[in-house]
Amino acid sequence: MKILKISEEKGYFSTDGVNFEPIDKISKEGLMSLLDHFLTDECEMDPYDDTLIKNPAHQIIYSNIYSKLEELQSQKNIFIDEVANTYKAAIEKYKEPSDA
Amino acid sequence: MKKVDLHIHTIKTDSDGAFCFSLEKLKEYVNSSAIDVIAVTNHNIFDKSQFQTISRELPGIVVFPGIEVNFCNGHLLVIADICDVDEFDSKCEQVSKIVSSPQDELDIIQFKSIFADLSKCFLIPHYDKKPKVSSEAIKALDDNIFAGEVSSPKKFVQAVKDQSALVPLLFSDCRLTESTKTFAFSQTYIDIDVLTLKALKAVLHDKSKVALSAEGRSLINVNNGDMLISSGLNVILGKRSSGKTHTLNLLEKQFGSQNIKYIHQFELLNRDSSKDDVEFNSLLSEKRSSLFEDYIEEFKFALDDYLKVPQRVDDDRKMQDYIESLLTYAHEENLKDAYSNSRLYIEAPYTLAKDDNLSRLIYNIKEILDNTQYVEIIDRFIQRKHLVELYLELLRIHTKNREMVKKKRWVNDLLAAIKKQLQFHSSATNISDVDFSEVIRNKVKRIKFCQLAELVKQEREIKRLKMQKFTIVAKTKQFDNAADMGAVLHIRTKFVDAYKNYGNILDFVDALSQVPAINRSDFYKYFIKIEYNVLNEYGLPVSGGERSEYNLLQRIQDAKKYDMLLIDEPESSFDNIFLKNEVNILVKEIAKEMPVVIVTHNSTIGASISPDYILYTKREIVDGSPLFKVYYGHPHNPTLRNKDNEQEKNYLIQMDSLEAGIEAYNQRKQNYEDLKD
Repeated sequence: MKILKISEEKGYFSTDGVNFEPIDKISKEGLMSLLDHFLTDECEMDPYDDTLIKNPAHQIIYSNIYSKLEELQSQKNIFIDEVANTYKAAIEKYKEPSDA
Repeated sequence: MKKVDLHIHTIKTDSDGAFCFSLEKLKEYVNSSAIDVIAVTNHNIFDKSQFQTISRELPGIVVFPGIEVNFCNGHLLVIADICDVDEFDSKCEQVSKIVSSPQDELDIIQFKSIFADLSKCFLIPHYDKKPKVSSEAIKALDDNIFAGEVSSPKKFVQAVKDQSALVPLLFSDCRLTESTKTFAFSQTYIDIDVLTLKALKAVLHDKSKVALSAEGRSLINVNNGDMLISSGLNVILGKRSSGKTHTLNLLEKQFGSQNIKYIHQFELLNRDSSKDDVEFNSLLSEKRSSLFEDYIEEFKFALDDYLKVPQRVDDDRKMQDYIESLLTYAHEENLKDAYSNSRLYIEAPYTLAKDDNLSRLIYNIKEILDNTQYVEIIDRFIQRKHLVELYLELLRIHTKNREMVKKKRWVNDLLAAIKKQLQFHSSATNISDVDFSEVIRNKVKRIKFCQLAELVKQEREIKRLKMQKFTIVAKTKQFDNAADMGAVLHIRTKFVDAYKNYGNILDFVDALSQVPAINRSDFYKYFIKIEYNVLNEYGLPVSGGERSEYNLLQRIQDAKKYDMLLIDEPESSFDNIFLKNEVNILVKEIAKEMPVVIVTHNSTIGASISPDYILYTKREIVDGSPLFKVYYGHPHNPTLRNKDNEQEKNYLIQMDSLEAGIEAYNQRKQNYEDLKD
């Protein structure tokens, strides 16, 4: 789903891939939601281009968030492994019905 | 019977603790304990002139020259004849040259070359006593070894009963100084007349000639003649306040209180569940620190890791600060200046990813490449050439990654320096930084930890043990209330708030942090506890009486680790029929392995258990102070006697102690006869 897009010289974000809001309206919950989706779903983002965004505030915010998410992208696989391995041994042990 | 102590230390060596030998004390020991034969045996050294002085000062007894040698992982006593003392002295000098520190020792070849003619000495290895001489070494010395030193009366008795064991000998291994107050009671009685080394060696091939008392080998001399007890089953009778405690104290002196398993009166009725885990763990055959610690170990590690994760609120705040500062900065048109217009002003640092997975992968591939044990099987399935190429390629990537991290780190340092300068000069808002990857990582850990803790909190059976007709089941169980939690570490502190949050894992951990009395390292103990339930042969929870029976069984099991078992008034915990059947059987069984002493006023036990020996305690008031006397003898002797040879009639004793007197007994007898008709 698309989480960041550029349109009409402004930057927009979405937490569900359908409804978009202007990027300067994003809150920390919105940001957290973007993060969550980024890791669990296949996400698309319009690359930052300062010729396409004219609003200077949007430029700053969009570019900042975009570059952070881009960087995360390169580590996505590492993350997936890490998440799977978190407390894995312990969870496996206590899932067993009994040790006896 | 002659009393013998062939293991006495008179010189402080590096293998001894600090002590200053007192010849006067040795004289006192020999005289008061009525010892007939001693040997001077010091660690890897023999002092001829000291030996001669000692012999001279103890003219009434036989003093043999000896040495305790470090030999084949253990210690070996070598006793020589008095007439061979010069030759022995020079042999010991050779020993001292080789064994000059506690870590040195003689091997068989060295030993045989020094003590060439072994028939001239008497060799006594540490047999059931630490440090033991290895069994190979004992075999290598053939017929020269037929007796061995043991460390306790119980081991003595066991060796006598075991047909394959050597003839046991028990000695004091004492170091007597001026300040020694009590003497050891570890000596051996030997049925022998002539006190020569040759005679000793001849007699000590026969187990029937050694004993722990002058009266015979099934009897043990307690406290240098204060009383005798059987190495099997003893019953102590006596009126209340007649000196039972006094008698038990004598036994403690002889055996050492830490070597006696003491089952106190009413102890078996006790339903103190705080000791359950200790008891259960003592029944486990494998050595474990504890069932609970083993079970909870993985959770403990996970919890330790989770406790390092920052609080939810901290991560939230970081995100909040980041987005607020970013938005503020973006909208601050009027505050923009040359500094804040610079790209680097709002540039975030690189996140430095750690790729443990790649390192692990490379390590594992190297393990396969280096393995020699299974190399044939590996080669069958994987071409080594490919594996090597894979390894090298991954190594290349790893090196590249490391290089990249180094570069990023360099950039971050520079960026931080530049930003600091820019922000200092600019009046625009600083954008606070947040590491997205860390935020996610923390979030995942919180979720997974909750999942894990919920699994741990599920109640389940973790171990089941059988003990005769009983089964003990160890189950995990959630805590019932705040007081239950307080019982974990037995600290008087309020767990009310923590317990309120027991249902919500994350809140619960936070609440635990608010309890000042507990350390973070102990948090893992508060999620789940282990409950031990005893079931009878029908699989049902035991009744009160069955519980006492189980308690007795468990204590008797535990007693096997000790040298003696003492049971105080078992009748307080059981009813009569049970006493006769179950308890008597159990007790007689264990009396085959170690000395057992039962204090009782109950005729079912006292008479019906057919003890090997009876003791009777009596208190007399002499000049206003209590004087305790202990009479002893075989159950069928008409009289029992004490150490001063005073006598009491056995029949009367049993009547008074067990039947509350002849009159009462006759009345009871009549009553039963009447009932029958």
